[in-house]
Amino acid sequence: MTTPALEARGISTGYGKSLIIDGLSLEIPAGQITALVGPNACGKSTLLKSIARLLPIAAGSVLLDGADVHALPTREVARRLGVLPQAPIAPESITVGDLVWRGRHPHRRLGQRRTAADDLVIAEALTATGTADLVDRPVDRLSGGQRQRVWIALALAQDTPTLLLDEPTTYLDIAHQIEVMDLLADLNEQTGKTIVLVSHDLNQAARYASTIVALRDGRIVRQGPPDQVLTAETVAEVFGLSALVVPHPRDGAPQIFPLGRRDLV
Amino acid sequence: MTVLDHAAKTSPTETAALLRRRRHAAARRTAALVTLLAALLVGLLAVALTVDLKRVPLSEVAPAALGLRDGLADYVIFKIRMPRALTAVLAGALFGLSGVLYQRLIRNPLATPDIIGVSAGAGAGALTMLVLLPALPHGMTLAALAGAFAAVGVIHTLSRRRGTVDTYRVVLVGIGLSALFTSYHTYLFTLADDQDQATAMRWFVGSAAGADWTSVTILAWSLGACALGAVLLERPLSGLTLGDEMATGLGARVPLARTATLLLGAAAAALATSVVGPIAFVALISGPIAARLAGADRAGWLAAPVGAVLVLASDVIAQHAPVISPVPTGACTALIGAPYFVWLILRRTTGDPT
Repeated sequence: MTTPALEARGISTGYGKSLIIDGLSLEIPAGQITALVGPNACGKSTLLKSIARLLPIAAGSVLLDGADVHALPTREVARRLGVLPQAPIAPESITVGDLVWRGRHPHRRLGQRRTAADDLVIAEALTATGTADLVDRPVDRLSGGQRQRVWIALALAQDTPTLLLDEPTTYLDIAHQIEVMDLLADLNEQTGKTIVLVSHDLNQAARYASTIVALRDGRIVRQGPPDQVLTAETVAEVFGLSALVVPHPRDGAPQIFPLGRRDLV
Repeated sequence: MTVLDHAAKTSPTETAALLRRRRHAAARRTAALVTLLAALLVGLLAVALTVDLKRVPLSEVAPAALGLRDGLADYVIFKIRMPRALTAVLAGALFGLSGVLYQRLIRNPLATPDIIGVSAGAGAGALTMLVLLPALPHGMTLAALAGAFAAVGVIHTLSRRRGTVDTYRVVLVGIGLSALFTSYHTYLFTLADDQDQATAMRWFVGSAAGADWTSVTILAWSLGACALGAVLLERPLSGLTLGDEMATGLGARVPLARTATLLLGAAAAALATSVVGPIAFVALISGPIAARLAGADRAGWLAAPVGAVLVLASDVIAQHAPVISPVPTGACTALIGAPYFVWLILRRTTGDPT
């Protein structure tokens, strides 16, 4: 395996005094899509946030291309690592163009105005996410799917080799979910971007990610390619759920069919 | 990079050209608005200097304003009207700036220093000095700063939750704090003798009356320093409007930027308050008016000139309007501000998405 894009070494973190993650280590392969999965409160969002320095860590270190994320100047990190949190806030009546421009901030020197070069990066981000026609629209008037694509456009305008997303499809309907996942897959394929996302949907994770990290109680239960991680045993161990695992008819990716109490009698 | 099929309609270069046109149009619009507001200020200044002049000929006004005349013209124009008008302009700009800094930081149009008790804290400090130690040089200014910073400290401490600041709690804590300061103000009034009471009362409603060139100097330095601070904080602040996490992701040092913005906004409000009193609602309405004029993303730069126009216009009306005049400046700004405040609350509670 090539050198990891991101590496967590024995990190411990949590909110207040209680540790949610205690001594976790993880390597994120470069140029791939990695999905963090697990039940609610398993620490997957907390892990993503501490990797992205949105949460301070109590112990350990996070390395981005070998440099400590929590020790580097935060703006330096922002030029190499993009983050899309779960619930970003769009200022009242801001337009799509003005919002996506915010993604250029880490590249801007003090007092520097927007340049033609910035316009081009923003335009490419808008085009890539299919939001170029929305430039003048206020963000608070967009549909959920459009809005999420605009946020991703902002992250793309940040122009970082690595992108972390916290549940990017959560509030979207199924068609918009697939649209966003397709977009991420294309970005990964065409630009070699390393993408890490927290996902609730095992079946989508299995089809789009090349590495799955399954977490429970702040520990990594298993990590590897989908067909090795998403087995009936692991699903049972991680989620406490009996499931039928069937290869997807298209590409053979493992697909999970949960078994309820009524299936098991 | 073309990813979605339906995105292929416009190429990135075309979109970039569109973005450039929008950027230039917005810059032209902002420049036009700044020019317009500046012209409005000059016009209002002319009105403030010339209206109701009884014994100074109009031809004497311009030279007297520059300090080139003696006697009555010098007294009325250079010693009274000019510093009063400039004080109104500078204080208005400081109030406008303080309001928009807080509105952007706290992401709530209600969370301005005049509503959440920061101005009231400044008032408590200044009033204490006015009543107890009136002889201390710059005592009111320093005490106003101390009072405002104390208020910010209390609000910030009580509104923290899980490492961030709960914006809703800021408003609630602030309104409570404001009430607390008001009762302290009342207590101070009872301590003051009759003459102090009259001064304190007039100051408390907020008025540019009695301003001299010392006030102008203090406010000019204050505005210069605060504007510089606002320029330095612009980038992290525009990240913070997207939430703490997004701001961190975009490379802002969130706790530092937040503390600096809170202190800067408090200082701007306190410095203006120490001179003209807590002129009501200017901090609250300047930002939203600027946003209406220039668009939400460019309001930050226009709130100060809007505030300046509001206070100078209010002061002219307060002095010269038939029947009601003379009233304190703050009474006029409250006339515009209070209904807007009520509308803002009603709109928030009925859940209008805009």
